[in-house]
Amino acid sequence: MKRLSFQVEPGRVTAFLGPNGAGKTTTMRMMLGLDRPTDGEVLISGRSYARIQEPLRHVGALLDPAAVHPGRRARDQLLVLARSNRIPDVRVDDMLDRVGLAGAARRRIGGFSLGMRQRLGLAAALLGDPQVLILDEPLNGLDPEGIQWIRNLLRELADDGRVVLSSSHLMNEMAVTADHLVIIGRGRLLADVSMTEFSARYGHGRVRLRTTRPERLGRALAAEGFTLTATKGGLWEVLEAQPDQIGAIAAREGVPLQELQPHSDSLEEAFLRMTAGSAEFTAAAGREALT
Amino acid sequence: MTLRPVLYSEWTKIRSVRSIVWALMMAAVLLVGFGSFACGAYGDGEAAQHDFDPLALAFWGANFAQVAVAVFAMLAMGGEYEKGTITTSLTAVPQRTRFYVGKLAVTAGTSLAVAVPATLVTFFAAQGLLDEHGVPFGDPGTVRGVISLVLYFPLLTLLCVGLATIFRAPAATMGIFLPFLFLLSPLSMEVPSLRTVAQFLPDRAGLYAAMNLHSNSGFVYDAWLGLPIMAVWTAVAVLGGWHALHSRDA
Repeated sequence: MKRLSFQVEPGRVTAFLGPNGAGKTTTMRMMLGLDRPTDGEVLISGRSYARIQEPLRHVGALLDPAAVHPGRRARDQLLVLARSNRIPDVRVDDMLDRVGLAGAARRRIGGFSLGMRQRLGLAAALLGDPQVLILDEPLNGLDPEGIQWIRNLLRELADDGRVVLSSSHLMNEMAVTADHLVIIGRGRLLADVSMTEFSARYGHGRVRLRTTRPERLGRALAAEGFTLTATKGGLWEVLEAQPDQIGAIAAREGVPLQELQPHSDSLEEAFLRMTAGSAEFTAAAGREALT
Repeated sequence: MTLRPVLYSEWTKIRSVRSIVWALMMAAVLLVGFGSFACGAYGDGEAAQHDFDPLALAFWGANFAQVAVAVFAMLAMGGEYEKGTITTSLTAVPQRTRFYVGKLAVTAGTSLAVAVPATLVTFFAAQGLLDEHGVPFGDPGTVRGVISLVLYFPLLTLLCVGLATIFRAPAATMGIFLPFLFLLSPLSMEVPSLRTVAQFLPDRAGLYAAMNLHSNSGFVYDAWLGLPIMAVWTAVAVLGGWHALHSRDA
């Protein structure tokens, strides 16, 4: 970690992004006083974590969902945490209910799937009704339904006026939910921008479509300054365009479209370009190693 | 800043994992079981020996019970590192001394709560089985022996929690410490040249105080000194654990 400095504001979801090995987890562990920086500090509402009395009432954290005793029942796991911070036992049952684990409360965690452990970890983070949430890769290993559920949860928490910091190594995971981005690579800060600004700079979209009259559409698009190029699978692609523009042109020309979709990879690509030089193990290095 | 929430939380941790509870229950069963068995089955034969000690025979099970106590302590603390729950524990209680004191107090307290009835039951059951060869409670050496065995449990627990905090990996700690308790330490007492040194080892010193009616001529110190000697070892391990917990990242 070098000269890494940023602020996380309340009322919005801040995505903490970076390739694997960039230092996201280490940064979060420093926030929680688990690892100590040789220099510098992390302040939460102006205090270092270790100085917070009953910290679970102020900060909720989700680190490694696998770091649980497999022999302990889900409810006992939460009771252990609640009692250490004088959180009433009834909150435990409320949170199990909220994350959808009420039915598994008395089961041992060893038999839980990764998704269930992730939910249990979130229940633990929410136990003390904290103002600040620090979540490390909360979408890891979840099925689409679980991902949707966490996205809504993050939104709700931020709309409540809480501080929500959620890390991920995939841009697309967070693109829909995040209001703000903090991107790091090799322990250095690469970007600290709002999602709107990031999309405006990199998100000039690309549209993919399927049509039975590509020549005709291509000519019409060329007249408007767009280029239609063929891509794999019989799909056609228009760069730097939005679906509504292309749809309007096709309708005017009477060209039938069987498919029309915005291609959202551009944010992921921008993110990859930004972090390419800083990824711990890049694909190029991997290829070199093979030859 | 009160310690009570930490104690309650640590108690909940112990209570909610079967293997930890069983380890301690096993210690009580081994102590009572082996003592009663030895006195009931071999009491008369042993009593004929010239070096017969009714306390040593009654507390024979301590040799086995101590292994279960050590396992209990290492599961309770070492398990935090093995399962990775230490990060969650220190997130809930980031003041590390507070966490450590809570862990020590609850493990030692639980151990003591089991040791008191287990030792008393063993003593009275064994002396009852020995019948005319037994000693009544209050005879010279019996009070010292019973108190020493009662305190041997929590002291050994503290020692092992300290070691588990220093070495972190419970498998490695157990792999080294259990053979030491069971084999190396007792065997070294049989080697004349090692005996003078080995009798100062924590388990030998503690069990010497617990299992002998009279001070043994093979020891260079009095039996009542056994427990203080063990306590010194325990203090060193506990302080070592405290230092390790503070100086390293969790």
